[in-house]
Amino acid sequence: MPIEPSREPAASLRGVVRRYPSSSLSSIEALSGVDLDLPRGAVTALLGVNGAGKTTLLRLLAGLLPPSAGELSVLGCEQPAAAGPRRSRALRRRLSYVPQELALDPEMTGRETLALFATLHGVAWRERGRRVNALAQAFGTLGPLGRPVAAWSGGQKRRLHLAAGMLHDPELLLLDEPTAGLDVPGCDFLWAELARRARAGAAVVVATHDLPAAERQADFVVILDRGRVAAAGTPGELAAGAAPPTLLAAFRSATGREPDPPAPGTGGGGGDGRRRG
Amino acid sequence: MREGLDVLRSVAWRTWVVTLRRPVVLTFSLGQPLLWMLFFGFLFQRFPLADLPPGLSYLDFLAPGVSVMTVLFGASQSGIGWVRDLQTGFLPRLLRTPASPAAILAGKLLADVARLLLQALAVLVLALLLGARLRLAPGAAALGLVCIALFGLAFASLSCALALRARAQEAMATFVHLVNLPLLFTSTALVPRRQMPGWLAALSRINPLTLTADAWRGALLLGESPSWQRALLPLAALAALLFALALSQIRRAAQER
Repeated sequence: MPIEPSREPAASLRGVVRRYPSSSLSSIEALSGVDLDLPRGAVTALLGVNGAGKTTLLRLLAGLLPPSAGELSVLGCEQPAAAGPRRSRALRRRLSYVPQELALDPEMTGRETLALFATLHGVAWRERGRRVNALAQAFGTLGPLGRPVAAWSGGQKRRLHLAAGMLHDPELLLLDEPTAGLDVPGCDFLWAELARRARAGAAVVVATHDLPAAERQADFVVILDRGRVAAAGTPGELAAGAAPPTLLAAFRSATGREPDPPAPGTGGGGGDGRRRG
Repeated sequence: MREGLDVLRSVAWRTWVVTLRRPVVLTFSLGQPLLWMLFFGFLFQRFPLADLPPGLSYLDFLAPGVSVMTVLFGASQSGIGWVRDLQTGFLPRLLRTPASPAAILAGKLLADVARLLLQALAVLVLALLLGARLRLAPGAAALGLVCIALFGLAFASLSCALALRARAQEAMATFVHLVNLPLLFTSTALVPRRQMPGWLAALSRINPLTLTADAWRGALLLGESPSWQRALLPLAALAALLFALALSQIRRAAQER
């Protein structure tokens, strides 16, 4: 899908730094000067080895962390640096952050879980049933919807975990390792749903170790390394500058590292990525 | 506002659903008072009850006390569910939504206070089955229930505040011992004040469990309406204070999502 550079980006970062205190005297810099514009209407893949700063970047975009320095604007709202006021509730309605760790109540059924998150996201009562069903269908979880989550398989839980973050149709959707623990059909459901949301105008940002899937599915790729943007562009652009012309080669030349293998259970075809290299 | 009520209702509903799916907690909360009434009731049958009119047995005296004690113990369970929800990441996720943390807290406490009222009444039914006698005056009993609700709200709030702060089961177990048992043994829930040494009687007068037990007992045994100065107002103040404490803790937790 072509990315229109004229449209206002979903998020824009200029010289964004984020430090974590590691002791009373020193701190660790997770992001050291990130300049980036995240496009609307596109799926952006965020690549990088463990510790490159992917999760920190997602949490900054979600407003869960303030930047230590630099300028960060999310959906047109300036995000003040550390100790500033927190993001407004209005902004929280417009975005969604789905962390890597599953966050579900094992005693609740799938339908109850989705209905609760719909309410908490302010989805109107009349709309709830329709959205819950549409999402359950999109993720192929209609079967066990009436059973407590404790009885669900790992892949089904992962799908529910993801669906619960999309009930309010966020304009900015931030997903951390969403394919971890998903089987092949689950991954297919997910990428199809993400592409559908991007076509509808949402900005989707996916932190992933799955390079082959990113190459096939993402409209825009950002490669992070040691807290900086090592490369950014469409998968085609990035691959064109590398030899052989693959995203994997581009990753190697931008970071000087091998990518981490995808998490176990990822059905996106992580194996052939390694073979291709 | 309407949205806040929507959140409150959904969280209350969720709290109830989860409580009912883990019936162990509810079963224990009835088994425990039954044991107290059996052991204490039959052990101390011959307590002279100078505080009460003649004709009332120790079991009659004990029934409202154990009912209030059950509310205290049940209220301290309130935070345990949230420790679990913190560990599964479910509560942090609820707090990342646009919903107001105050509405989430209020929904949880509403469900817990409703549970506590039912537990208090279930203990009375058990007591009646064991042979206790009550003199029901509907108006007084209704105000007595208000006292129970305020008392339950206060200690359920404290339990939730502690759960949000400590985030560990061990802390909750400590809470039960550090708060519940001293409160129980310096109160008139099980023992009439006249049977206490002077220092203990003085201590018992400022114990919220005593205020609630005396009000509930007066309402159920003598048909007396709970006093505003000695029960309703102090309990309302305590509930407001501890709810504010829980609110500050959930707002802090919401900042650290």
